[in-house]
Amino acid sequence: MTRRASLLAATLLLGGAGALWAATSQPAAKAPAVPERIVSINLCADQLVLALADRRQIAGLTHNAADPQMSGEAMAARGLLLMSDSAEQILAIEPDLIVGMPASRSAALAALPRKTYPLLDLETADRIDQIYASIRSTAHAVGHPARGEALVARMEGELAGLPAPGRGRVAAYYQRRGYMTGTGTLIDELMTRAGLVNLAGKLGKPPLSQLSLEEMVAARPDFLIVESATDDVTDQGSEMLHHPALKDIPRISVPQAWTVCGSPAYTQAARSIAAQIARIDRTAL
Amino acid sequence: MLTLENVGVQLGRRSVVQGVDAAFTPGTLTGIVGPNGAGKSTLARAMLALVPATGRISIDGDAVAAMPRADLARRIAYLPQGQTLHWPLTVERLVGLGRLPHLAPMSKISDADAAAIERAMIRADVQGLRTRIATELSGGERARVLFARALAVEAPGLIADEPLASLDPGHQIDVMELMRAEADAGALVIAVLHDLTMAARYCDRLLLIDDGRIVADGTPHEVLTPELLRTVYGIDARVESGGDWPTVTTFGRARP
Amino acid sequence: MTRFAPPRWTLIALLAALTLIAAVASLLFGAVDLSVARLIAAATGSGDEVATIILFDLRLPRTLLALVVGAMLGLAGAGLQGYLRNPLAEPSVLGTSNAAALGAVGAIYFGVAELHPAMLPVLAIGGALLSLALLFALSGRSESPLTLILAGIAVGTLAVAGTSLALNMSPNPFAAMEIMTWLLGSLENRSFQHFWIALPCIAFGSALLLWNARALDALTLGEDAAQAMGVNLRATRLRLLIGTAIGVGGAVAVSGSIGFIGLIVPHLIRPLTDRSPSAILLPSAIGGAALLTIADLGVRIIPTTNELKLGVVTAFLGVPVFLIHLMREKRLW
Repeated sequence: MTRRASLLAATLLLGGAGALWAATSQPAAKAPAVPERIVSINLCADQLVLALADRRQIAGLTHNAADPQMSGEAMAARGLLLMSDSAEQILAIEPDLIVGMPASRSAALAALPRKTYPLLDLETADRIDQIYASIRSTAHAVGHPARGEALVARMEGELAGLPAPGRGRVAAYYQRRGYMTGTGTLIDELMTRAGLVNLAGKLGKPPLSQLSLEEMVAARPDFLIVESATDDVTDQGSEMLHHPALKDIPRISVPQAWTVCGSPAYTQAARSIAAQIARIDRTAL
Repeated sequence: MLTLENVGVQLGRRSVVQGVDAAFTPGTLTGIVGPNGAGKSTLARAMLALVPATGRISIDGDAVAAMPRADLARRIAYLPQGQTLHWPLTVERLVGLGRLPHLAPMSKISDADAAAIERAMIRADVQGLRTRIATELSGGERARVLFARALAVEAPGLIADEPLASLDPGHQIDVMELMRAEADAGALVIAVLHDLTMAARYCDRLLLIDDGRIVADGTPHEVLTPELLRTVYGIDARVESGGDWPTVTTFGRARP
Repeated sequence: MTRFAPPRWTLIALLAALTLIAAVASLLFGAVDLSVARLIAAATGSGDEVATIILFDLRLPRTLLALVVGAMLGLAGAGLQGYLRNPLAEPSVLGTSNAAALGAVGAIYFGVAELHPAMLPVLAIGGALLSLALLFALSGRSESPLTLILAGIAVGTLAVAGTSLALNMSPNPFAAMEIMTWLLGSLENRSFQHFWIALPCIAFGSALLLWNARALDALTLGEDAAQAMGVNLRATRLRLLIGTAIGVGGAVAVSGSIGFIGLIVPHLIRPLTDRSPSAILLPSAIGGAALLTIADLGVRIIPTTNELKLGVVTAFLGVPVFLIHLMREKRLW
């Protein structure tokens, strides 16, 4: 191809791409003041929507919302529509607010380029103040800003009254197959709040790493925090957590439903951790 | 003394052997001859309780069917068809396998066993090959080694199934001479043979089998007649009975 | 051509010494660096808590398991090769290990193992028994190595497919991620509980296989000749079937399906013996123990981000053996 021809082709391509981009990226529509068909496309968004919106406002949640192992608000989700990750379902519901984490990059929405739904993008929460921010923005979007403030106030009150029985002792959040959660995460903040030091931080590990049993034994943490579903041995991953080598380390068990998302269940998790530490200390005396 | 009374063998729906009555005495070499598919090998295997048979087969009055395998193994040695050898053992080790019927479950080879192995190798003239690997031997050497293995059992009886297969005339004579020597030493030897001349030359007695039945039972002179050869083999042959043993010369297929 | 074949007890003593060295090395190495002094102190009861727990709760059961599982796989390979008169036979090539893994997966991921701890080895053994019965049915009385290997591939592939299906259908969402452990084998995170599950099965299976020694020798001359020498073929076959199923089933139930040990070890041992099938049985067991322990040591020493599976190491060791055999015996079929 000649130089001029290739230049022309490039311009056409770029121009075409630009036109396409312009056609698809339209600004999201504005949500009504009190939406009546709210759809949540993310488990963590489910928690907030269930806590803050009226039941009749909720038109669809993710399929994990009613699973008590994964969703703190599982009871509240009963009877509501649980969706699969399908663009067709969204189309059929014709929502007036879609809440996601974030919503704008959802694959289902990408399949509907000509539709513009009002979107609320939430951020993954690694700290309590990010949880408060999400609560506030969600409450505002669903038309009940006062509820959001009330929830935040209640949570602040509960957390303020919690003791910190950790007293600087070391704990490790140990998952199936030896995965360990590091600093800069919600789990880490829960540990700090209870007065515990995260072993992963002490060892300089990234937010997610693997620690072998030998290394865990050598590290000798004062507590192991495990996800309550691993209390039963149902696979090799959970079997590892029950190895006799770990039997001397006291254990704190917290349901994953309370920690996987930055949600109101955070306070339940914090309370449970503090209570279990206190109980372990009492029985050790 | 090996006795067969009205012995029959059924394989699938076919009657391979029927109504066989025969008695074999120690100190004789009996040849079982007959066309392909006549049931010779099957008969031999029946005598060793390797196939189920009707009628009665007994050794010195004891029924073979009721006898424990180890007992039977000590009374009759078997040299099967083909020169099956799965592992590259040394000749000495291979001949030593012949002592298995005599070994108690956890025992080792005793001095008596070693002596028997030595005797067997000398009788079969393979002691010079003792450290050679059996799978690397020539056909003739291998035949003698496998024969030595059968001799090592030192059983009063020996049944050999087509021991001359794929051997050249010289080695065929070697093996026949071995069997003759065993019979002369007092053993009860039965051999299934294809070569009529070899059978005629070395055997005291021949059993001619056709279609599972005994067609003739007697000395080679009695059994190898042109009429019987025509009926059983479908060949035109001339038999010269002038010498010590009859010689069979085949002319061609018999015309009906 | 002369052969180098040391006297039997010399060979066994040498192999035992190698195994002992491998076992000691296995106790010395691990994820955490422990000095020899600390380990010796722990072994004699006067060590610090960390070293004691690591030595007795983690490294010791792992080493013992490597020894007994390796021994069983080596012996099963030798036994199968002797009986089938085929130097390529061994539990993983014939699909037995994978079938046992299928049984074990069924027990764990569908909650059957929670009924009783013995359900795990029982189901693994059941899987192995079924696969061997199917193998014998498929390959019949054929003495051709080709038929046997093909039947083994068929059985093994069926078992692997079944295992994948089972793991994907399990109500446990994490099950599918553990498939690699079952199909490639691992001794990571084993405890004494696993050892006590495997040991009785392996002991019993080994006893049955060793009992067959004489019969295997007699089979050198073919089935007819063996029977005529007093071997009860049916009893021999039954002992082989049940011994292999129980021993390999018990081993796979705790370690997953580890391949090639039963292929490599008899192959390496055979030239050092008089080549009779009975002579390689016990040395293959000891050699298998040594080899698996060394392979497990390799898994811990070779630096990898994700856990290296035992089956990968044994495959790298085993495939060259397969190829050498193939090239040497061009007339294989």
